[in-house]
Amino acid sequence: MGTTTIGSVATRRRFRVRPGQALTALALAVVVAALFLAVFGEVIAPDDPRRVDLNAGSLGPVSGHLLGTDQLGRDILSRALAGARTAIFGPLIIAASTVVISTVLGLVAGYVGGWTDATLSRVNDIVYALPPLLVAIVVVGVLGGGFGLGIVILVVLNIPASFRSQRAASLEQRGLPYIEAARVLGLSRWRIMRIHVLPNIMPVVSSSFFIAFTYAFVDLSTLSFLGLGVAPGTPDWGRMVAESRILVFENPWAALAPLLLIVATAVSANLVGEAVDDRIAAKGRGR
Amino acid sequence: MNSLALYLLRRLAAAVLVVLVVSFLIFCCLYLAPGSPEQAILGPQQATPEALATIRSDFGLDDSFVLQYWHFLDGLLHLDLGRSFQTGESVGSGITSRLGVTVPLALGGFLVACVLGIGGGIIAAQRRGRMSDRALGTLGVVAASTPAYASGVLFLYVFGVALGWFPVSGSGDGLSDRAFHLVLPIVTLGLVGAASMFRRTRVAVVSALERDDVAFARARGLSSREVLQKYVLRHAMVMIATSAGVILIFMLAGAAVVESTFDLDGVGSYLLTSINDKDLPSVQGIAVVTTALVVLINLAMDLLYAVIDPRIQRGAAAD
Repeated sequence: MGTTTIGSVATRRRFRVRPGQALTALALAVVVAALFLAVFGEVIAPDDPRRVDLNAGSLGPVSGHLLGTDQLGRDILSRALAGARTAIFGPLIIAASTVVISTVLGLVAGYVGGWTDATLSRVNDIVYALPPLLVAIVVVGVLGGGFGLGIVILVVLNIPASFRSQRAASLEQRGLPYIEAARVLGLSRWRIMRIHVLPNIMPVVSSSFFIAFTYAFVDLSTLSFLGLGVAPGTPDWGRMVAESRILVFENPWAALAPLLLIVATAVSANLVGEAVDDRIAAKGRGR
Repeated sequence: MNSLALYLLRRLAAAVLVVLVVSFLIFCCLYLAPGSPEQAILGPQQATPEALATIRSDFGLDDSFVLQYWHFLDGLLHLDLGRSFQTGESVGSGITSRLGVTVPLALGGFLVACVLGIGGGIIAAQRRGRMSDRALGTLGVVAASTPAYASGVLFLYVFGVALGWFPVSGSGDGLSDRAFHLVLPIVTLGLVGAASMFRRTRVAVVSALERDDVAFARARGLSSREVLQKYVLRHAMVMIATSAGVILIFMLAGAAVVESTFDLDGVGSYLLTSINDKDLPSVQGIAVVTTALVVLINLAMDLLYAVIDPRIQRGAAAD
């Protein structure tokens, strides 16, 4: 009888959808949709997102322009769909580069230790002390590099946080018996780092990726909002909010559509990242 | 005590060094910036060779790189940040005249962040795992992932345009009008900081709640209020204070974004206008003042730990 009770509790737990899971599923759907827009947004846009029509400026939602137009008569729906490209690919490039570089550096610093670690960590601490958005605003603004320079600067400024977690995780692995065994077998340092340590710090790496993506998404779109990111005329969510916020009376959707897409994407990416973290943590406990 | 004075002296020296290094890096950045400042000052119409030459000699632009930097450092020693290329007014007074917007904005945002973040973090930690904890956590994720300009424009639309409760732009005149104009910007700035404050406070309080002495205090029958104030918060305090420093520094960058979102005439929007106008002395002056602020906040935080947790003070004296 005792076993049946346990069994039924387990079944009930497995089949009941908790509100948290529903939220995660929704977030995952939004992330997938945003990625789809980033690739195909411009293709499925009903109108050319760059086409100016001064006779149809600042319109509210009408037939032919479901979300109305901006001051230059460009179709808001088309611009919102096409604007996913820079808003999402930029942060993806930043997050991927950040994680690759910081994982290599973190592995080396944590596993090799000594002077290498001391030097890398000291330089890292200096960069970590900088307020990322402020530095990005000044450097990109003064040098006028636009989107490309923005990406490079944000990679550099996002590395420290990620480096710290990867270094700590590698350091933790270094003392474990299996590493000692690999060393006794005569494997080279690079081989141990690549084949043994790296797979074991992957949970930390994946968590860093989502964190870096969220920060990069917020900061890069802020640069575009301030006019320091993508070039003028480019359909981009951050830039659209900046260009259209003066239209709040004529056509609020011109600013609200990109704004809601930004919030939905950022929140969803963050929630998916947390869910991945939880799942990895739960797996670790079960082992 | 003597060793603490020595520690303080060393930290101050390091702070001066950081400001020097940053000012040099910014100077290099400005030197390398594309386009010539005298063209930007005059505009295409009036840019005759004579006029350009006058401006160059007026602002010392013909001097060598080293000499220009030396002039800047010399001015810095006398608290003179140079003159704006655009207006000719002193950069120092340009900054101080705008502090009336930026200081209340940043401090108000900091206060909102601390009250919401620390309060929410303590509540969530005490109810960890329950529905209210998860709801607060989700709210925190929403606040953390929403860029300040996005929530700002959203608030402007909802409370300024749709409901008409608050003014849509401008900084306001007089004390009460200014405060009224700053409500939405302060809330916008505070929410982003609150999210990060919330997360850090929750972690700190959860780990404090798991300590043996807290369990023991509860077993002795102390009220939950006493346990929280005398044990849990004492342990969590160092981490919360660290976060507060990080948030305060974040407020500086956040203020620039919020000021330009709400069309406020503060130091942050001054920086952005100067960047767009290629007004190099202004950019440099604001950057150096901001760096000095960041360094001072970090230093103040380190000293605060020593007060909160005397063990750190001994550690600092030892190394």
